[in-house]
Amino acid sequence: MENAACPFCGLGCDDLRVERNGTALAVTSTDCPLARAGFGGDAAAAAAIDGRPAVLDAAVDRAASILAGARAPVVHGLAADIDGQRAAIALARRIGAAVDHQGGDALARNLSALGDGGWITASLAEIRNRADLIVSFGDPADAMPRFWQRVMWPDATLIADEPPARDVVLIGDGIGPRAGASPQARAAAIVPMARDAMPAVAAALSALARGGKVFADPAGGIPVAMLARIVERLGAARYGVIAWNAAAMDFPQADLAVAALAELLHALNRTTRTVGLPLGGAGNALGAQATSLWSTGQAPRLRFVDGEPRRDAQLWSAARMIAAGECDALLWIDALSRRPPPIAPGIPVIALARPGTDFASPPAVFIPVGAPGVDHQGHVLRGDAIVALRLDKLRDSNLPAVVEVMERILSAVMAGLDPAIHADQSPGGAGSVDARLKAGHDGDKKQGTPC
Amino acid sequence: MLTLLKGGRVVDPANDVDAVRDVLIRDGRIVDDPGPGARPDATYDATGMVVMAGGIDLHSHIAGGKMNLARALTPEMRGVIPPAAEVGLKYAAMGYTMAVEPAMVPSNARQAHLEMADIPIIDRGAYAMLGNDDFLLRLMLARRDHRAIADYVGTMMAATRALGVKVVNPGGISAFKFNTRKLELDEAGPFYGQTPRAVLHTLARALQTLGVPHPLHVHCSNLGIPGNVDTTLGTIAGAEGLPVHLTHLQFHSYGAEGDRKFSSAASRIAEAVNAAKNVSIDVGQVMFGQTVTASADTMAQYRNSRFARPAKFVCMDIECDGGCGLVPFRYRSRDFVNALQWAIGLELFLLVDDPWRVALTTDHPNGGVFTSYPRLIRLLMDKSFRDDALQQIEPHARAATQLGAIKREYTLREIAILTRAGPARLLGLKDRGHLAPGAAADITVYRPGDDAEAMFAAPALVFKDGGLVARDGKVLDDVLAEPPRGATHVVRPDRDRAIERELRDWHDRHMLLSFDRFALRDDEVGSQDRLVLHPCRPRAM
Repeated sequence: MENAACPFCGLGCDDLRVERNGTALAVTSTDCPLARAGFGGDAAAAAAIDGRPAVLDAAVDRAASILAGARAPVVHGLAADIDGQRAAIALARRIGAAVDHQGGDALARNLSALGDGGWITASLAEIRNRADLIVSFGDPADAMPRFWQRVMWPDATLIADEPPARDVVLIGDGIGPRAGASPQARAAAIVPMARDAMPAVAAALSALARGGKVFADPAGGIPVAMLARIVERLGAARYGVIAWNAAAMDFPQADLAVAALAELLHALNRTTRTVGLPLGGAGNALGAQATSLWSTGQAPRLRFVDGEPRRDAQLWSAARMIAAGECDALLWIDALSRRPPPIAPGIPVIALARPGTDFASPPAVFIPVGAPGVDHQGHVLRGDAIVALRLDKLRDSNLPAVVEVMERILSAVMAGLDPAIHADQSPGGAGSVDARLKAGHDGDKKQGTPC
Repeated sequence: MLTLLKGGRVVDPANDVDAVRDVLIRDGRIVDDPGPGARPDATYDATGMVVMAGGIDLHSHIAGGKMNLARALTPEMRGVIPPAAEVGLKYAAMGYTMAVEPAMVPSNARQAHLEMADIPIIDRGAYAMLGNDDFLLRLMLARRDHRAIADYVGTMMAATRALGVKVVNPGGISAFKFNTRKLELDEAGPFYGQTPRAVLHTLARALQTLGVPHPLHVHCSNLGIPGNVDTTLGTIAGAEGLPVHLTHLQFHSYGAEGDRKFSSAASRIAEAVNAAKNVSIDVGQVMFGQTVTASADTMAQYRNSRFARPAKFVCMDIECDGGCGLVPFRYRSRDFVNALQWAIGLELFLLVDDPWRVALTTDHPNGGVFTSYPRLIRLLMDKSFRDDALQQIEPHARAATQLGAIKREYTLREIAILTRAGPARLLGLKDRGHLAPGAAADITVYRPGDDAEAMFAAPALVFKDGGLVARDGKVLDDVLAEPPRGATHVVRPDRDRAIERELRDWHDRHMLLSFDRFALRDDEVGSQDRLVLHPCRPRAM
């Protein structure tokens, strides 16, 4: 298969060569570790209840009975294609669950800044074609391994029929000396910064751009004169880019650091063009955010109360709820990265996960699912939340899509909740929830071109 | 299944009908009276009621990435940007059976359609946004012939599943990416050197060549700027007789006179529209209250961000084909500018003579939310209600508008034109917006009364494709439990596919997505049978 699309990070590459041998796939066009891991691995696994193999029907029934009996269920992970995420949110609404993505911390940090002051950003192709300077906190390749090749170093741009000369400034710790170097071996400027110094550094940059004076020198360990030079270069750039990876910002007040960068963007755009680039999007995080926004009006993290979404980015953090003993059933969905569910002692875990997921302990229910773009068709949203990527089916694995399993669980939950519905609507019957939901996904199921 | 709507006053201006008569429905369509032998399976008594086709909103921001950004920007506001499910339910409860998303950025089309597929009950469509895309500006720079440009436009419409094409601030969004903050109609834009006038004319001509029914949907340059009347008049002239639809014209009808350098130019604009038969408009009426403005016009939205309430905004440059800007606004009746904006919109409605060339919009959510339409209808139909409202606004604005002197009251027939018959005609929907046999049985039955707002807010009965979906302004419980899905309306102009080679190369060289993956396939969002294809009528040039 040539030109395969890859759903495993927010970059959304669609130029992969994937070779198939039986049901085994191998990426041969790039050494991107996320693509290689994502397309690789087993194509089959048995469903299991309490670690013992079970038929799918039994696993679905067990999952439904756990969820129907739970008082504070949490739907977490949420790393699926958009159809899967949509079905997961519909199930959460039905059972009164909290909803959190596996990258919920990163989403919450960015959403907090966005909701406080807004920001100025650009989508990836815009940056690829226009940027003349990028200032990034951390190496963007940590979040998007092919970032430099795909976004920063094209052979030509809209502006010039030659490789762009771009200035690169990388701020952070542990950045390799060759990170961000151009194909012509022009090195990036690397500014060492302790990770948790970012709020101070971002605030100082923002203050300097607004014409303020920074009295604490150095700021966040960086001489203010050096920060002033960075602001000066951003001000002189025609189309500057400021990038950050909220997932890597696991220190206090990370949301305020993002907000300071948003203020920096606002200040710079008074005279020139500078755009923000929130890096990330693995696990179809932006798909989860978008699907939640358009189907509930609210972004994750939220909890359904009487069918109504209530958003609270702190309160409905799945990790917090688990740690505080406020969760009595965990539905973990990861059809992309094989990340195992968080350790949740005493809480029954239902895991919709890919074969090969390395569980710390056997979940109460394990239902193997296929990956969109590998085992079935689907859509994921790129990290810039603009381009929805169409994904192909590359092999016949018999692994169900998340949406199919969610429909079956929802159907079983509703049958359990209301015996009348159970009697009238056998799963798959014309009037059943199953059939109703499926009506919206016919197109996805019918076709698919194994390579 | 034969359904009879008995004895209502049928107001169906497309067929020149205003009379008491029965309406018969079979298999989702309006049918001829099958004769005395036929026995209806269901009969609804519409005696004393007004029967119209379902409402059609030809400009309402209901889907796409920018609406999600608006939701994320304003988590504290509930109800301003409803989620997809509520969009369909609220429109249906109000007697509307179709709405068109007017600003689908091509690169975001797939997401917009995924979202629209979740809007229940009503039919949808979308205009693809062109005119700030680097590809088109390049074709123009290379002086490519109009046929190649038309092929490109047709290809983009098909690839994004569009019903029409909209141009927003022609060339201005692209110019903003080069840090140009203002672009006049005859000013060459940066890098590509194209003027807004040339972009506008090129696209209008392309659509005529392709025979796309809906005229080029135009969001003029200089939105919101005092004195932009000259730009708007220049835009009308710049169309040179080609069909154009000037959208949210209220925001483009401003003078710069008076102490506050802000005045109404509605009468000059109305005069020009009345004279230019190639021009249709929608108003984008301002209704007082909180909203979030959502526009592709980053140049204008960045400029207007200083008026943001609450003080926050988003701007985004998008994928070498567009942009989006979100700015929360609180329109206040006691604010001079807001009050005059309100009055200017009403002046436009009342001064443009031909209702067939006016569509009723608030540019949801930019002037106000679509659920404010019933109040807007009353403002148009009820002079004394309008005068009372006029007394409530900021006094200098009241003194600056001629609204109080305008006696016109819209008739029911004219409202039916503004809200269904006219939009259907402007969109080229032959079987919508009217009630002749063969039309889709999208029907709204109103209970008439002195209060037109109450009448239009809570229709007695609403049928979608022949099925009853709402009663007395409320969606039926069984419909809520299992809402029917509407159709997506599209056109697919005939075109020479040679241009696709260039697009493939362009995508491979400059985009992060191949053209094949950029283009939507029929089987990937919704199923083929829910797409309604409308014919184009190409003109020999």
